[in-house]
Order: sequence, then C-alpha cells, then structure tokens
Amino acid sequence: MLSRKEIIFIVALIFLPVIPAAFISGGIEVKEINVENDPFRKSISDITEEVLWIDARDQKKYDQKHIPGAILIDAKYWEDGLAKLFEVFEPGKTIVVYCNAGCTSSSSVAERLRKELGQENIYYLHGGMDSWFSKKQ
Amino acid sequence: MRTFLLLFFLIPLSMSAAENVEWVEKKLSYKAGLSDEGTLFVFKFKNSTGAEINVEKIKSSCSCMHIKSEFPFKVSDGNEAEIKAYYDFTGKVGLNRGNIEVVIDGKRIQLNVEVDIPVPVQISPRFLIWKKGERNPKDITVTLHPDWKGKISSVKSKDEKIKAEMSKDKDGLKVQITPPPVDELDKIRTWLLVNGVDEEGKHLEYRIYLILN
Repeated sequence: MLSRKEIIFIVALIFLPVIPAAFISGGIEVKEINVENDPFRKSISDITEEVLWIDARDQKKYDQKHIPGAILIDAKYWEDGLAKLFEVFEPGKTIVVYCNAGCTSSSSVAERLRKELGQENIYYLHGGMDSWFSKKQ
Repeated sequence: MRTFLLLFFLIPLSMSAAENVEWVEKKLSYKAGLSDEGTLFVFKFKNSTGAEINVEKIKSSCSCMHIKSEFPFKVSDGNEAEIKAYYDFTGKVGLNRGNIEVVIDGKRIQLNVEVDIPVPVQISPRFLIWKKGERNPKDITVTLHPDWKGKISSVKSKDEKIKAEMSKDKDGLKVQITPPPVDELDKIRTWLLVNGVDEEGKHLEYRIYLILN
C-alpha cells in the first residue's frame, strides 16, 4: 500500500513536465497559421470526381514526376501557365492544385487562380503530390 | 524518499529541456514592395535550457525559401542564436506562406513566414466565358498599383469580330468586350491582348482568354 506522500509524489511526477512548458510559452504569444478549417484545402480522399490537376512546382520537378494529365503553372512564369491552362480549360470543372508535401505554393496558386478565373471550385491538395501516388499504390 | 525527491526534480527538467528554447518570434511577416524580389527572415532564439543544445537540422517547406544558416551547430546555455532563411518571391503575388522546420535535440519546431506581395497590374477576370446563346458585352477591370510607374496603353482583339474598348475607371482601367451576335460567330476560343510598358520601358503583354460556347 502506498503512503500518502508517495501518492502525492507520483501525481506530481506525472504532471510536472507540462508546468515549465506552460511558463515558457507564457511570455511569447505564438500564433500558428490555422489551415485546418480552410474550405479550399482538400485531402486526396475528398476528391472523388474527375478534376483538372495543376502542378505548382517548377519545370525541373514537373519533368521528374507529376500526376498524369497535370499541367504546370509555375508562379514565376504565370502568363505561360495561363496559356497552357486555357488549352485544356473546361468551364466549371473542379481544379486541384498541388506541390510537394509541406509546401505552400499550391495554396497561393489556387488563391490567385480563383481571383483571375472568377471560379470558386479551385482547391489545393493537402499532403501534396505524394498523397496522390500513395493512394494509387 | 531521497531518491524519489531527486527524481522528482531531475525527470521534469530533462523532459522540458527542448521546450526551454525561447523564440523571439515563431512567425514573421513581411509586406513586400513592388520592386522586391526576396527578403531575409531572421528567427532569433535564446538557449535557456541549462545545458548546451544541438540544432541538428533546418529544412524549408519549398524551393523558394533558402536556408542561410549552416547546420548542425551548438548553442551554449544562456547564449542567443538565429536561424536565417531567404524567401525568393520572384513571380509570386498575393499572400504567400512558408514553413521552416528546425530540429533541436531531436525535437521538431515549426517556424512560419508570411509575405504579402503586391501585384503591379491586376486584371480580373482573365478568363471570360459566354454560355451557349449568350452574347452580351462583358467587362474586365485592370487595376494598377499606385506605386507602379509603368503604363497600360492599348487592348487588341485577335478576332476582328470581337470588339474590345478600353476606358478609364475609378480604380484603373476598364475593358469592355462585345462579341458578335450568336449567328455570326460559332463556338470559339480566342484571346485579346492588353499591351503596355513596364517601369523600365519593356513591352508588357497580358492575354485575356475568351470562351464563347
């Protein structure tokens, strides 16, 4: 049977590691970017219809590997990208923009396309291109 | 009981060591000027862990962000250090975000950057679509950034049957596009060109894409 002191000690041992962290973060307010509720972020499992894929990386990475049928829109060469998009563009068809996992250029390209095309159903892929290839395997 | 007391203090200290790195800011923002091509972000921190720490790895989320700090490196207790990353935003516009992952003594820490990049010439929309049987005139707006010294001079339609007229608007310029009646022009995909010169006098050309169903 544990003594009262020992019970207090064990409880303290469990909770003590969180105390210093609470004090440390108290001085600096860290505001994380919350993308969890972004309506324009799609996971690969959310995409069930046929979509137009847009690769928001650069030419070199696109040439190495890309989702079949995807067209390249590198923000550095925006006008060239729009010309390519125009060739295959189908009004109203959902567009999904991707880049590598963890990158952020897909969200900014998707945002710019929504403005310039005047179309809302333009999303970016959470998990990047690898999530598409993982699903296909 | 003495052993218990020793453990009581030592275990929490060792577990919280990695958290004891004090960051001045974990998120940095930058509002870019029109002529900016990139910016250097500097994340400063202080080692208050009570022991030396090892910054093992620094990784950026995209190829546009270049890590400028050599790693791995060690920081003694009580010392300050920094993580530097250069964000190249050539060709990017609007709100752009990026992440830097720093691994300190096996613990991952995420740092965030946010860059707001102005657009010198904003044309909206770039794609104009007419439905089947619909042939009404449509407008596009050309908004010029107040600091931009270039000029938009003309608009020219590739197809003679499609008229395009440019006029001044409160925010910049307005282009009205008038397609011919339905029976004169069948389903077509074409474009018109908005021409101008940039701040250095170089020719500028923006396409407005037209889809007539």
